[in-house]
Amino acid sequence: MTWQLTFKVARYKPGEPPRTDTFQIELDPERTILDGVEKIWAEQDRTLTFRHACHHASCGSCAIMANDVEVLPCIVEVNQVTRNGGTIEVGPLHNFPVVSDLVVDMGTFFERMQQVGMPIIGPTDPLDNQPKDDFHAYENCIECGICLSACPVVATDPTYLGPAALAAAYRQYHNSDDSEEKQRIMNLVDRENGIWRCHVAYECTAACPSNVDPAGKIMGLRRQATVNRVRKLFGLKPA
Amino acid sequence: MAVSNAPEGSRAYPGQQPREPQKRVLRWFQPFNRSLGTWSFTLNRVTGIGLVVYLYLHLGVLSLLLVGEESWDTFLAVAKSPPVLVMDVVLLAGLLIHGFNGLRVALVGSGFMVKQQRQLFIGMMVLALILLVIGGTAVFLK
Amino acid sequence: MNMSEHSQKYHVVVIGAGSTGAAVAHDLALRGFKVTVLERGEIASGTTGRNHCLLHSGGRYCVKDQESAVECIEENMILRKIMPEAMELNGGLFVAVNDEDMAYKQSFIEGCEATGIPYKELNASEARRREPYLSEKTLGAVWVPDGVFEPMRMCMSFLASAKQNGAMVRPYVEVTGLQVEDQRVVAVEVWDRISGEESVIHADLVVNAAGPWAGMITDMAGVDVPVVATPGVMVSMTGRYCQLVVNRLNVSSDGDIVVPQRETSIIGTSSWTVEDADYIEMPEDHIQMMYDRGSEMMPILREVEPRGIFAVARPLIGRIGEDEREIARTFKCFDHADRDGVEGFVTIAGGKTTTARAMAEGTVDVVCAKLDLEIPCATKETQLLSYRAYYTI
Repeated sequence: MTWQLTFKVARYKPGEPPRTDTFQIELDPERTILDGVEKIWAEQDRTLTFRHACHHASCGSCAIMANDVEVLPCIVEVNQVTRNGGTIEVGPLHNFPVVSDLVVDMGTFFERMQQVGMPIIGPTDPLDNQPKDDFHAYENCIECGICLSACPVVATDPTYLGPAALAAAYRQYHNSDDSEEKQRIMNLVDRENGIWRCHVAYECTAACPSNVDPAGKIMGLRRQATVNRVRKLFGLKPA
Repeated sequence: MAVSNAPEGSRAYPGQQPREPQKRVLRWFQPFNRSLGTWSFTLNRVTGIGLVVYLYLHLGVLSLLLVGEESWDTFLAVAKSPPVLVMDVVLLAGLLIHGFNGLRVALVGSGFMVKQQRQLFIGMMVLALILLVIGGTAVFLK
Repeated sequence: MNMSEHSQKYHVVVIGAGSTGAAVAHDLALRGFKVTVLERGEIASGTTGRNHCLLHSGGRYCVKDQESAVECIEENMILRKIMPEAMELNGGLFVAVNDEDMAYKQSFIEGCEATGIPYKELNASEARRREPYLSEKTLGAVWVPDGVFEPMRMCMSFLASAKQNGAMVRPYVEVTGLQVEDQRVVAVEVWDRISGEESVIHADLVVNAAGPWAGMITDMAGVDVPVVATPGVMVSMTGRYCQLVVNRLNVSSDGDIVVPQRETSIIGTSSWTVEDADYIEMPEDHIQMMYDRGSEMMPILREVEPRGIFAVARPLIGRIGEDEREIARTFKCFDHADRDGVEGFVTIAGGKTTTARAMAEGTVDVVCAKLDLEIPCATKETQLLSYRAYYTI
């Protein structure tokens, strides 16, 4: 069985004003929003551009807005967001530069992730099960950018480091035994457009498709920063 | 390496100049479709702006004292009229919401009750509501 | 004499930025060529991105296709050294759940020995201690150095290194034609899907790394390659139920592997052939087969929810109509001068993501030979940049 669906796609090409295009497609209701977008590209409009790679929520490439919320369209079945004959609106993530259609430029995002320095995939010891702990959760981060799109602070302050990088910093701080590295991370985040810019809306944590809980990590860093400063006041080394 | 925020040509898409995102201040006031956290964020923006406006209004009113006793008495008469009393309750609501929400932000921001921040917000708002009812009653009874 | 002074004169255009194209670009740039990579979509948006994420030990091929198995284990050992950021080196198990599987064990072990794959036999209780979600019917297992990688980040890592060495990578630029003069490919006609502009890029040599779409490119030069688009269905389950890759200890077949990647377990895969690989309709019975066969090894997979279901075409060398599991999984580099009398045009096809680096080495060796250059390959020893550098260089 297939459903008749209307896709309203936010379009943008350099030098042209943004517009919305409407496409009618037939799709199995158990296929995903991304399948729908790919089908439109394959069968109706080869000028449509969108990022995608793994189709199972592990690469983070395809994140978009669908019906005005951030999603990974590769794991949202169309029957979760509409019904037969219904409409799905898709557009690029908020708060990122738009390159074309659904494609946003992740350049600044990855630059900040690189500054933190924590690769998301750690080497695992062969033959050993890894314990599941609080830190392990950071490795869930797929660098999709959804948390930045959802954050009301990023919406007005492009210099804010943003939830993803701060969550990475939290993990790098606690993962490292090297006091110089810890200090480097603290210097990076303990400033106006770092951890102190967050206004505790917790929207990043709500929107994250991988349960990274960036807001909780930012609060953890704040506590750490405060402790370090108080200790410094008494001439003690950072904890 | 410094974080560069200045827009430049895209490094991942050579030759393209991506359209920089607009600052979306309106986003502060669009909690619909969002989680509870954005309601708290929006409430804090709205009440914060309201309180700043009130502060200037208040200073303006106080400056009536400089004009003279007569104008101050006129003001006092107006201040006791029911519409202004309603506005007093609104002011109280703003103070309570902003104050208690701020307390939550300060607590969570210092690493306390991070995991329970949702419940903390609901609790704080319930507290604010109780105090508002008490305060509102007091304003009208006097 | 520094040969790379000579290679700098040549502009090589690579078509495709999947694992093969990315690795070829890195190898070319490292040997000093001027390189442009053209990709019609996003990096890894085709076959590579949607693959199974399995860093092969070669175990899956060690009995029936030993050439592929040797390639796999060699590349496996190289990649884990040069690309640690995109790898999870967890190892893999080949698990026997019935007598037929146990009977296969001996030939599997002989295959491992013949192809140089390190292995370790585990009895049933050891296997289930390591992987508690394995079926109660487990009779035994063999450990091999399988691993898990991030396909998109692997491509980004290769491309970041290529960019550092001067390569230009252009996503969303689709090749629409090849200009052939006097039996030689001299330029590539492209259509920029972002700006809509059409242009012509001069090329001294074109490497076709378009995977299952390679035939579309060779058509443009009036030649062909025997590449069959052979899709497979994969089902990614919510939650990670094993730390090691779990394979069925038997002849490769449908739904006989579960790869734990990040926080999912991916069951795969099936196999059929298609003419057009742009949009693949997934057969419902293949999806059902993944649950059925996957849960024979790990019964819990029947109880948990799927997270993503996807299919993508592999570029296997062969002709439509051949039994696709019988086609060798090794790769082949086609020099169209020898084959079809068209100069300046090379197609690399087949293979798998695990062997991308070796495919690139072989291809660039052919490129160098065609241009009469002798520049040794250095990708085995060259540490790749972080995938994040792709966005910052």
